[in-house]
Amino acid sequence: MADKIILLVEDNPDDEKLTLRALQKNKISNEVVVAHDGVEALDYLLGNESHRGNNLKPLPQVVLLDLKLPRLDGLEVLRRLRAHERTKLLPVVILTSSNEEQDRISGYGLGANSYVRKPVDFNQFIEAARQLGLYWLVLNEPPPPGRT
Amino acid sequence: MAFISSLLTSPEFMPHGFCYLWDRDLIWLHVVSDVLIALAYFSIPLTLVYFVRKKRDLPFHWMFLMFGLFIVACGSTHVIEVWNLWHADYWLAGIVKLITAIASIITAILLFQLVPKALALPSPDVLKEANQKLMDRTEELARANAELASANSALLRSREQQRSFFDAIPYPVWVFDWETLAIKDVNQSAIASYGYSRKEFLLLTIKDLRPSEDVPALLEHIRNSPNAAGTTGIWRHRKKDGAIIDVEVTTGVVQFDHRDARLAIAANITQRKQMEEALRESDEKLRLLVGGVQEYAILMLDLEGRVTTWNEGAERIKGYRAEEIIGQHFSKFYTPEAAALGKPALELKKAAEQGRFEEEGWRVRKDGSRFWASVVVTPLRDRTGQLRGFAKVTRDITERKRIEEQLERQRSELTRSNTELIAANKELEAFSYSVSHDLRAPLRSIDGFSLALLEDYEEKLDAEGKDNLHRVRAATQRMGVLIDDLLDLSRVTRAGMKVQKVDLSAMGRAVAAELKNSQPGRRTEFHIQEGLEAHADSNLMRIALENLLENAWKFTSKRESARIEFGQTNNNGSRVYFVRDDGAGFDSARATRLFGAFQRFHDKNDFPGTGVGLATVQRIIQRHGGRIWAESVPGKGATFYFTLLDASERGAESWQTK
Repeated sequence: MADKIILLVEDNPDDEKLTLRALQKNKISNEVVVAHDGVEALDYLLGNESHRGNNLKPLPQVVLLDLKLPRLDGLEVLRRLRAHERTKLLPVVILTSSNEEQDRISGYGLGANSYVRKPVDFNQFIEAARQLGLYWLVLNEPPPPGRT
Repeated sequence: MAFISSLLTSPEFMPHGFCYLWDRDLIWLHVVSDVLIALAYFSIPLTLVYFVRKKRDLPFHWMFLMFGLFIVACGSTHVIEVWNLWHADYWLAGIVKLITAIASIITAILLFQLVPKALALPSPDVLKEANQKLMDRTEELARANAELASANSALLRSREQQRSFFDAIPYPVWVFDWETLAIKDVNQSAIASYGYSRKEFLLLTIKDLRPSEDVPALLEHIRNSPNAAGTTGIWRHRKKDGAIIDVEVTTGVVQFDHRDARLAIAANITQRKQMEEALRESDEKLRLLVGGVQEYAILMLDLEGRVTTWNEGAERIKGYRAEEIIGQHFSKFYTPEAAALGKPALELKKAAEQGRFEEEGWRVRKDGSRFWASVVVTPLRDRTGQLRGFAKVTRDITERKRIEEQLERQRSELTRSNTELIAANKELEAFSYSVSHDLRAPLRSIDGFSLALLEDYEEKLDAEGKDNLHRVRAATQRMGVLIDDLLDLSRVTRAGMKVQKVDLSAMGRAVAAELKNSQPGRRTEFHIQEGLEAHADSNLMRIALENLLENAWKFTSKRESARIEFGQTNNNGSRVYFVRDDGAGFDSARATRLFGAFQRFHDKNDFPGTGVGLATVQRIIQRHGGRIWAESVPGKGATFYFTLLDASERGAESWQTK
C-alpha cells in the first residue's frame, strides 16, 4: 500500500493542506504528489510537455482532481488524460467544491471514475477522505500496468 | 236513125278542107291546134271530176260539173272541126255547137247567178290568214292551258309546302281573326305545346289561351295596338291542362279568308324568365352582398380606370358617395405623389398582365386624410378573354398596421428583454457556478482550520477560546447550508422542464421513507393518498415534495406523535394538492410572507432552516403554472395547498408563453 502514489491536483494551498491533513488523520501514509495546476498534473503523468513520454514517473494509484484550476482546468486535464494511451484507464476522482449538474455531467462524460464534493464541515471531509482512501487504495483493483 | 245517118252523110257539102284549098300546112295547123285544144278540153273535166270527187266539201261542186260538161262540149266542137276537114258533116257540127252553146249558156247563167255566192266565199289568202290566226290562237290556248295546269300543280305543291312550313316552325303559331279573335289556323307546334287538338283549337279564341285574369289586359292591348303593324309582347298563356307558361308573342298582320287577321308566334319563355328571374335574384343577392359589405371597398373600374360600381364599404372607407364618384378616375384614391408617378395606370397594367395586382400602401380619402390600404386589383374578362375592366377590393388596414407596428415594437422590446434575460440568466449561472465553487472553499478553510486549532492546540485554548471556535464552525457550516439552499433555489429557476406524468403518491412515499430513516425513533405517521398524479417535471416536483414534507417533518418534531398528510381535494372542479401536519403551525396573518426567501417564522434553535425551502417550492409550483398558499393555526398545525396546471390547460399555457 505504501508504494501506491496519490496524485492530488489542487491549486488552493488551504485545500491542499486540509486534504493532506484529512488523509493523515485517516492514517493514509501513501506518497501524495501535489500538482498545483492542470499543466503540472499533465507533466507529471505524461512527462514534460517538451519531452512527453520521457523520464516518466510511475503512475499514481488514483488522481484526486479539482475542477477549478489555473492554466488548464480539471475537465480539460481529464479530457487529455483519457485521450492519451498511458492514462486513458487511470482512475480519476473528481474532488471539488461544486455539485453543479453541468460539472457532474461533463466529468462523468469525459470518463471520471468518481465525483466527490468536498463538504464544508471538516469532520465530514475527514470521513470522505477515509472512505476514498479505503476504496481507491485498498478495495479497488487498478487496471493492469503495461496494458494502459 | 235516118236523121243521124243524114247527119253523117250529106254529100252535097264539101269538106272544110276545101276552104283551105287543101293547103297541107294550113290543114295541119288546124288539125294540130284543134286536137291539142280538144285534148286539153277533155283533160280538164277529168281533173275537175277528180278534184270534186276528192274534195267533197267543195262548195258549189255541181258548178264544176257544169264546167266539165261545158268544156267537154267545147272540146267536142274542136274534134268535129278536125273531122270536118275531110268530111262535111256540118249538121253534126252544128248540133254539137248547139249543145255546146246550150251548155255554155246554162253554165254562164249559172255562173252569173253563182258570182255573189262565190264572192261570199273567202278567198284562200283570207282563209290562210284566218287559218294562221286560228292556229296561233290554238297554240296560245294550248300554251295557256299547259301553264294553267303547271300553275295549278305548283299551287297545290306550294299549298302543301306552306302547310309543312307552317307545321315545321318550332314555335307555336296560329292565325286569329282580328275582330272575333277566333283562331283560324294553328300549327303542329302549337298543338304539341298547348295540348289542344287542331279541331279544339279552331273552336277557341285567343282569349281562351289566357288565364281569365289576364283577358282584360289582352282586350285593352288589342284596343290600343295599332292595326297596321305587328307587335311583340310578353304574356301568360294557359295550356289545356291549366298550366301557365310565360310566352313572348309576336304578331304579324295577315289576311285570312279575305278578313283582317293576325298571325301570332308564341315563344315559350318560361324557362328563360325563370333563368332571368334566377339571374336577377342572384344578381340582386350579389349586389346586396357586395353592396352591404362594410369592411371592404369593392368597386369596379372600366378599362380606363373610371369607377363604375361602388359599395357601402367603399363609401365608408373612402368617404365618397356612389353618385359623387361613379365615372371618376380611380387615381383620386392615390396620394398625389403616387398619382404623379403613374402608379394607378401601372397597377391596372400589372393586373391585366399578371391576372392580379396586390399591394399595401397609402391611399387618400375624400377629406384628404390618408389610410394604409390593402389593395387587390383583378382584371375582369369576358368569355372570349377580352378585358372588360377591373375589380378592386380595398381594405383600410391602418389600424392593423398600427397594431402590427405596435406588436413589432413589443416584439423587439421582448426580444431585447429576452436577450437581457438570457444574459442575466447566463450571469446568474456563472454566478451560481462561481458561488458553488469559490464561496464554499473559504468556508471549508475556516471550518477545517478551526477544527485543526481545536485539535492541535487543545491545551493552549481555554474554555471560551474553544467555545468561540465552535461558534465559528457552526456559523461556517450554516453558511454552507445557506449557500447550498440558494443554489438549489437558483437551480429550480433555471432548470429545463420535462413535463410528463408523475406519480406523486409514489414520490411522497419515497420522501416519507427517507425522512423516517433519518430519525427512526420518531412516531410520526404519514398518510399519503393513493393515485395522486400530475403532469409535471419529475425532478422539480421531487424537490417541492421534499421541501414540503421536510417542513412538516421538521415542525412536528416537537410532538410526541404526529400525523403528516399528503392528499388531494377539489376546489371548483380543479385539483388542489395539500400537505397537512399537526405541528407547530404559524400565524396565518403572515402566511403570504411565508414564501419569500430567508423568511423564517421560528427560532432557528427550535426549528433549524434557512428560509429558502418554501421559496423554492413556490418557484417550482409557479413554473408549473400553479399556485401555492398555506393555512395554519399556531400550535394546531399547518396545511400547504398547491395547484398545478392541468394537462388540458398546459397546451394553452405553452401557447401563451410563446
